[in-house]
Amino acid sequence: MRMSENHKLRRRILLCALLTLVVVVIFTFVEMSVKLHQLNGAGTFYQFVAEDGETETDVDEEVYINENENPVENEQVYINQEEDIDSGELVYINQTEGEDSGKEVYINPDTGYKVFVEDSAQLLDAGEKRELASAMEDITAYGNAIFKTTDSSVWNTASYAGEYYREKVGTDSGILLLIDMDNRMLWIHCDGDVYRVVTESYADTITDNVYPYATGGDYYQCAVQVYGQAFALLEGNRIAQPMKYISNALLAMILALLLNYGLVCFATRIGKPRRREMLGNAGNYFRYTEPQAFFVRESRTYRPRSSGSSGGSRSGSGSSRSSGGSRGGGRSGGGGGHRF
Amino acid sequence: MYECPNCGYNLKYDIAAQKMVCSHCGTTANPYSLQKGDEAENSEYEATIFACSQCGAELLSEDNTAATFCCFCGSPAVLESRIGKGRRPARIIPFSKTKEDCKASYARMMRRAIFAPKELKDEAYIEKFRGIYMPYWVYAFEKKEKISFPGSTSHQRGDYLVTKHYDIISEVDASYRGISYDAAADFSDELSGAIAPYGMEEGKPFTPAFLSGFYADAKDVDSSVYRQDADALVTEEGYERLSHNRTCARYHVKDGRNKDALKNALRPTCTSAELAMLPVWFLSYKKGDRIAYAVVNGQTGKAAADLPVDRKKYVAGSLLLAVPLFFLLNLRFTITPGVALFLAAALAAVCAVVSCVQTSRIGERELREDDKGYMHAAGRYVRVEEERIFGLSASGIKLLQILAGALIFLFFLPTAMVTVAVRSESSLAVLAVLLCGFGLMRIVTLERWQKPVRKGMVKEMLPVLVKPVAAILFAFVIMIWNPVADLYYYGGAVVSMAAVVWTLLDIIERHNTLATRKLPQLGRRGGDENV
Repeated sequence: MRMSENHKLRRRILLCALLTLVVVVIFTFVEMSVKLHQLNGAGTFYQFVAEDGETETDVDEEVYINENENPVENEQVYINQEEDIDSGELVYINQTEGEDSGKEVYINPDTGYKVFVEDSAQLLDAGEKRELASAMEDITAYGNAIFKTTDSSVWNTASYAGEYYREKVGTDSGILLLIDMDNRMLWIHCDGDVYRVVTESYADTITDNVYPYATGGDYYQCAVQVYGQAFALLEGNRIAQPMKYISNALLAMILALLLNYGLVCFATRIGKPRRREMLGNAGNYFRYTEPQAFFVRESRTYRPRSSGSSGGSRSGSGSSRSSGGSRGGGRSGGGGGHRF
Repeated sequence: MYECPNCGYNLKYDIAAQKMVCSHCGTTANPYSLQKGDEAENSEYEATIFACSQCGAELLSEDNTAATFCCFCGSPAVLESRIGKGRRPARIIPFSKTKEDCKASYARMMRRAIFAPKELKDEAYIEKFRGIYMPYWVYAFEKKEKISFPGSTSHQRGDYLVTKHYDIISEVDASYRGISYDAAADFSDELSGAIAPYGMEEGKPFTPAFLSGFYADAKDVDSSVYRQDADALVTEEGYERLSHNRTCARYHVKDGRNKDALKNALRPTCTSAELAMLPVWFLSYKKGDRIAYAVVNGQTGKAAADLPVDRKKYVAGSLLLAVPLFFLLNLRFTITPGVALFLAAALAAVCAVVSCVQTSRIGERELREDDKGYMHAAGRYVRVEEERIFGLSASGIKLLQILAGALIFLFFLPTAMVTVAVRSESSLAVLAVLLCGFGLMRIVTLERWQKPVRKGMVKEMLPVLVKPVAAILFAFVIMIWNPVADLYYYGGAVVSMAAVVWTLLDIIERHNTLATRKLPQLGRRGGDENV
C-alpha cells in the first residue's frame, strides 16, 4: 500500500515537472512567435512606391514609405530616400515640415558616425530638434546617435526600437532613443562599442532617471538628458543611480539573511549515522552463496507496439533550413526602457 | 559508595586508568574485585536515586553525595535522594573519553556553529558536562538458511510482453550484533541516534562499580519498541548486498513485488535484546522555558547538540555578508522597479513556505512525535485531534490549501506572461513559471504531504503567514494598479522587502524554538503533565 502511494507520488511529481516544462516551452514558443511576427512584420511595414506616389511598378529608386505612420491621420509621410546610394549618405525628408527640417543629419568627419533625428510624433519644434542634434553630436565620437519618436501602433517597443536601429545603421555602434507615444514608453537601444558601455542595465538606469521629464511633457529635456548621461558614461564618468543602490542594498540584505539561514540549517542539523556505520561492529557479517535461478513459468501481457512510427516518410528533409542568414552572427545589441 | 581498602575514602572509576582509583591515597582496584557476594547473579542493583523536584527526572548513582543541579531541566534545586534499586543491565561500556576529550569534541563541533549564543562556548558552562550511563537495548540478529525469492525477465514479442518468472535460491549466513537504541524515555531519539554507534565489542559484563563517579539513567522503554527498527536496518543491509549481485540484477530482483519478496526472505531472527549501559557526556542549556542539550559519545567522542542561534550574531553576520553581495550585485545587476517588486513578492512566497514547514515541524517536536521511546513510555500513541477552523473540517482545510496553491499559481502565471510580452526577459519569466510549478506541485501532491491537521496547528500557522502574505498582496496590488511613477514600485518593493526581512527574523526565532526543547515534566516516569 505504502509502495503504491510512493509510486503515485513519484508519478504526480513527474507530472508536475512535465507540466512546468510544457509551460516553459509554451512561453518560449510565444516569445519566439512574437519575435518572428515582428521580423515578418518588419518586412510588411514597407512597400515600394514611387516618389511621386504612383504605382509600385514605376519604382526605379529605393524609396520607402512606412505604412504604420498612418499618413492620412497624421498628415505626414516620412520618405526615407537614399538619394546617393553610391556615397552611402542618408538624407531624410520630412514632408510635413519641409525638406530642410527633415534633414536632421550630422556626420562626424573623424569617425563617420551620424546623427539622426526623426520626430514622427512631432514632439519637438524645429529649434529643439536643432539643439538636440547638436547635443547628440558628442555621441558620434563613439557611435551613431539616433532619436526617433512615433505615435503609430507599436506592438512591442523594444523590438520596434531594435528593428528601427538595424534599419538605420545595421549593427554598427550607436545609441537610439525611441519615444513611443502609443505605448507611452521610452526605450534606449544600443549596439556595438556603445553597447559595451551603455549596457542594458545602464539603459534601464538612464530611462529611470529621465522618465519624469517625459511624463511632464518635456520631451526635449528628456532626450537631452538621455544623450547627456550616455555621453557621460562613454566618457568614463558615472551617472546617478540611487534606486539601483537602494534596491540592491535591500536585495543584498535579504539574500544575506537567506544564505545565513541556509548556513544555520546546515550547521545545526543533527545528523544520523549511515546504515553501514550502525552495523559496522567487528564480527558482523553477511555471506551468501552465488544465487541460482530456476525457471518457473512464463506469462504474457497484451501490450501492442506503438503505432506512431516515425520511419520513411520524414527522411530527406534535413536541408530545408539553412543557418547563418543575412543577419550574420554578430551581436544585435540591447537596451532598456521605462513607461512615462 | 565503594570504600578504598587502604584508607576508606571513596573509590571512583578513573577513565584514564580504566580502574577504580582512590583520589586520596592513589590506590587502584579492579571494578570486578569490588563485587559484593552474589551480586552478579541478582537482576537488580542497589543505588542512590536522585529525583529532581522540578521536572521529576530520576538519576541513579553509586555516590550518595547530593547532586547540585538536574541534568535534564538544568534546575539548580537540590535533588532529593533515596536508596533504590535499578534493573541490572547485562553489559556496560565504560567511559573511555575523559571530560577533557569530551570538551575538545564539543569545541570542534561548536566551530561550525558560528551564530550560536556565546554562553554555549563559555568555559564555565562547558565545565558542567556530566558523565551519564544511558540504558540502551542492544539487539543481535542472525540469519542462516537457504532463501528463495522471485526474479523475472521481460521482453516484447509481437504485441505481447513476455515475462519469464524464476525462483532464485541462495544460502545466506549473516550475523549482526551490537545494534543499539536508547532505552530511556527522557533521552531524545534524535540525539542518541546522532552520537551512535557504539562499538559493542568493547562491552564488559556489568558491575555497579563502573558507575561510581557517574550517573545512570534508568530504562523505561520496552525492548520491543525498537526491535522493528533494528530488524529493518539489518534487512535493508542484506537486501542492498544481495541485490547488487550480478545474477540478482539480471533477474530484476529490485523490481516491484520482487523487492518485497526478497526483503521478506531476508528478514532475520532477533536472537537477543540485552540491556546495556553506554557512556554519554551530557550538558543542558536552559534559557527561559526552553532547554537545549549537548551530548558526546563517551566511547567514540562523537558530539551532537541542539544549537540555537543568537539573533544579534545572525543579524550582524548577515550585514557583513550583505556588503560583498551588494558590491557583487552592483557589478552586474540593475534592478528595475517592476523586477524589484516581483522579487520582493517571490522572496515573501519563499519565506511563507519556510515558515509553514517550520511551524509544522515545531508542532511535531513539541508533541515529541519523532521520539518513539518517549511516545511508548508515555503510553501515548499518535491520535490526531482534527482542527476545525472557520467551521471547516479537514477536507475544508485541504480546500483552503488548494486555494493557497492556486493563488501562487495564478499570481505568478500572469506575471510570467506579462514579463514575456512586455520585456522579453526570459530568465524572469522562467523564474515565475518555476514558482507556478511549485504552486501546482503543492496542489497536486497535497494528499501525500499533507500531515494530519492537529488541533492548534492552523491557528499557529495563521499569524506566521500574516507578514509574507501581506507582502505578496501588497506587491500584487501595485502590479495590478500598474502606476507609471517608479516611486510606487520602489515604495512597494521596500515595504514588501521590509516584511520579508521581518519574516526572516521570525523564522530565526522559530528556528530557535525548533532547536530547543520544552522543559521536561517527568513527575511520572516517562510521563508529561502536559500530555
